[in-house]
Formats: sequence, C-alpha cells, structure tokens
Amino acid sequence: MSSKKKVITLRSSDGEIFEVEEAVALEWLTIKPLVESGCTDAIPLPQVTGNILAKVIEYCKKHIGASESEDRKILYELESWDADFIKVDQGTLFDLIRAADYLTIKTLFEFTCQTVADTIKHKTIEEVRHIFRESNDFTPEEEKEIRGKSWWLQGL
Amino acid sequence: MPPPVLKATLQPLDLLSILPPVIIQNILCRLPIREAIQTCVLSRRWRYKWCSMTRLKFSDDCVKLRADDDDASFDRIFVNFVDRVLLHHQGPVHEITIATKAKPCLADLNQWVHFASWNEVRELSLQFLTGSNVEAPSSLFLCSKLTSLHLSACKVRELPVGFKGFMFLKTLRFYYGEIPCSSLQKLISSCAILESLEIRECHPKALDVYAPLLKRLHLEGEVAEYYLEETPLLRELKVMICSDVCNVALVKYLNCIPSVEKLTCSSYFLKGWSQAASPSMGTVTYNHLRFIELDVNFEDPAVVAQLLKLMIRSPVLENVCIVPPIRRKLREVAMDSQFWCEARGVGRKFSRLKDVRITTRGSANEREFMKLVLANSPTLVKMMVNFGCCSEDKRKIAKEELSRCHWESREIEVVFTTFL
Repeated sequence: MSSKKKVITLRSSDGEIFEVEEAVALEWLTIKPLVESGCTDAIPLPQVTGNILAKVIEYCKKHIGASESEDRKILYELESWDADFIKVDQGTLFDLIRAADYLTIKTLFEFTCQTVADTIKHKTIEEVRHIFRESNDFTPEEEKEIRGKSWWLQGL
Repeated sequence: MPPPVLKATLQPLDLLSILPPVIIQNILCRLPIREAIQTCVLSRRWRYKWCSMTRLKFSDDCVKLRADDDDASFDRIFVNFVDRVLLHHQGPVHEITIATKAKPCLADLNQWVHFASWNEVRELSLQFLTGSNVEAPSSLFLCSKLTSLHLSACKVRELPVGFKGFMFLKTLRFYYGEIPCSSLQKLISSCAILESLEIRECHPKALDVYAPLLKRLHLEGEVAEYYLEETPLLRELKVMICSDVCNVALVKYLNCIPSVEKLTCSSYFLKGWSQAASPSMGTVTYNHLRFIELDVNFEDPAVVAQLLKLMIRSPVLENVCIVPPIRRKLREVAMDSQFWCEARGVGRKFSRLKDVRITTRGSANEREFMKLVLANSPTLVKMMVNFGCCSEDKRKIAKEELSRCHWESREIEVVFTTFL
C-alpha cells in the first residue's frame, strides 16, 4: 500500500478545482459516501463558490486533529487562529454558514452560528435591526400591541 | 429613443432572513432565551420565528425584576415565563433545560415535563439550588425518548409501577439529590444502553451498578460501596471521594484488572486504596490503563507508595497528570531515608510513559518523584512542570535539581511554567 496520502478533488460552482486530503473530506458528511466509495473524479459542489470553498478547506485543515487535543496551549492557539479566521464581512460569514450546512461540517457550522449569535447577544432591538439591515415594517400601533401582548417578557 | 432607465429599487437587504430556517433556529438557540424571544419585534418576518426553537433553556436570566418586585415575585415571574413560552411554542423540541433558584410547585413542574414528554424531548435537565430538593414530577418517567437526563437537587421517590426504563438514555447525571438506593439502582439498570453515569453528593449507602454498556462513571461525594462488576466496558472512572476510609468494593473491583483506560481519583481515595492494597492487590497489573489524573498528597508516604505502585503496574501507561490536593495546607514531611532509595531500586521502568504534567509545590518528595520519573521513562516526550503554587526559592531548587538529574529519554522536552 502506498503511504502517500490520498487526495480528493473538488470543483466549486464557478469551476475552480481544489485538492484536499481524504481525511479532511471525510469530515464533510455530505460527500463522505462519495469519498468512501473511492470516487476519483472531481466532486462537483454546485452550491459553494471557489473563494468560500477555499476558506472552508483552510478551516478544516487547521482543525483536523487539533480540536480534540487536550493540550491547553494548542487549544489556545487554535482559538486565536479561529478569531482571526472569522474576521470577515457579514456576507462571507453567511456564505460560510450555508456552505457548512450544505456540506454538513459540524464544527464549522457550530462555530459560524455561534459567531452570529455572539454578534447580536446583549444588543437592543434597534441595534440588532441595524446589524442585520432589517427594516421595521410594523406600524407603530402593531409594535405597541406586540409589546403589550408580551407583557410577560417584562421590559420588552 | 433612449432605452428606459432601469430604476434599481433599493430593497433593504435583510441578511438574517435569507438564511434557511434551520440555520436561524440554530442561531436563536444560542442566544439567552429572553433575547431570542425579543426578536419577535424585529419585523413581521421575525414575529414568530422564536416559537419553533428546538432548544429551550430557562435560567434565572429569564426573570427581570422591577424595582417594586420583591423576592417572592421571582418564583411567580419565572413560572409564568416558562408557562408562556411553552404555550406559544410550535414544532419539535429536542432539549429542555430548567436551571433556576426558583422552586416551582409540583403541579407546574409536572406540566412542563409533560410538555417535554409530548414533544419527545431527547435531552432534559432540571437543576435547582443545592439543598432545595425539588420533587421530581411523575411525568418524568413518561419521557421515553430521553437520551440525556440531568437532575440536580431533585428528590425522586419510588419509581412508578410499570416504569419500563429509559430505553434510549445514554447519559445520566444525578447531583445533590435524594433518591432511595433501590430506586437509583433500578433506574440505572433499566437504562439498557447507558454509557455515561455521574453521581455527585447523593449519598447512596451501597450501589450495585448494573450497566453493561457503561463507558464513563464519575463518583463524587462520601464513601459508599459501589459494586462495578456488571460494567464490563467501563473505560473512564473518576472517583472524587473525600474521605480516606477504604472503599472496599471499589478497591476490590480495581484489583480485578478492569478494562479502565482512564482513571481520575483523589488523594483520599489513593490513601484508602493503599490501606487495602497490600494484601489484596497481589500481582495485579492494569493492562489497559493509559491515563491517570490524580491529586496527590506527596507528604503522605502511603499515598506516594500507592501512586508508584499504580504506575509500575500499568504497563501501557502513557499520560500522568498530577495536581496538589485542593484546599489543604500540607506540612512537608521528610520520608524515611529508605523510601526513595527503594523506589529507585525497584528497577521497573515506565516503558510507555509519554507525557507527564505535574503541578508542584516544590517539596523534596515531589522533586524526588519527578527525578524518579525522568530517570525511568525511556519514551517520555514531554514533562510539564507547573510551579503555579510554589515559592520562588523552591522553584529555583527544583529547576536546578531537575536539570542536573539523569534523563532516560533522548527525545524529551521539559517545560517549566507558572500557571495559577
């Protein structure tokens, strides 16, 4: 048996070709069966663009094996690497979430969802509206009514 | 004629709403529940999104007391909050957590847990203040789809007649509660696929753990007789017992060459073990033990002897992690001059040991132990010495001694740190 690591080829929606180690691709549950069946053609990923796929691969390569480590130093370094990795604009962040969901990559999905949750945690309604460019389409009367009905929330 | 100018209508782009519902749910579940519910006033699209959250975690943050509210209002407001959320909720729920200082009455709690059973909740957690011993409602035993159950400061009486067990339960945590031994035993044995069990401060007198698939067991609190013979797959055992009375049944179990790979225990337990060890330990070897994590009182010869015995008799031991006992001031005790000489003379090597972490006070016995490990571990890759609770001059002595002594391994890296 060859000791060389097996490489899987992936094709993004915009036709870019990527190569990843088999061990990385096996963490992506959506394509896992394909990888396991020994598919040698480029696997098409019609829902992920090249630039997002590159980020996804970067994240998974960094995390493989490291997430389970019990070494505090490794985990600490990983955490600060993650913090840098996720410094992206909102559009990219949401594309990453969608890609992680589509490819079923649990760690990346949880991390990106948590990042969004952290962005809006402890913010006022107005701030959340602003962050997500959500416009308030309630009439003042409606909003008052909702707030009134939700008296049990106190201070809404 | 010039072509008509296309007027771009500037629709405000709502970034969050374009995500699929499953993603929105996931994000909402990561917010404190009050904040998740407050998204109902963001816009029309958001009006009812919170109602289908699949994880509901109620904590004391749910209650916002106003200036004129007294403490008695707290329970009422909390109960009301939970009632309202469950009333509005739609769709599947996988996880419900209620962790509060409020003491809901049995009828309320029963209704909430009924809600959990109707929704076939998989993870349920009821956590109250230590000592409050809130009575667990009978509806609990109707939650037949549970995979994880955590009860903290709950009182469980007899199991209902005809209770068939939690067929899918893999994790059971029972903390600071009250339960008759026979009920606890029955509860455990009725969970056919239980993998992880934690019992903390519940003071059963004796417990015969029948759990054929159990992999992880944590025991914490006072001494009790735990019989683990019916746990053939146990891999991870943690015994944090705070009395050095020998735990006869446990020690007997440990001396029967169990399949345990990871053992975590307290100095007290080691002491108790040492008292029973000499006649019964015989020539037992721990052929699966790869990881030990202990708090060790190095000023007690019996404890140190037991630690060395354990290490020598574990041929595949790879990781050792040692911390000083918590909340105890120790006076340094000089060992019998023969002790370390004999230990060095045993001639056994820690042939697979790879990684040692020790938080040290820098006492003479601790230094001797570290030197012994360095001199007898040919495959040691890393030794991390944490001087977090060590005085400056002792740190100096220890560093000097350790760098001068013999290191058997060629590949070793010794790291000194000072974490607290």
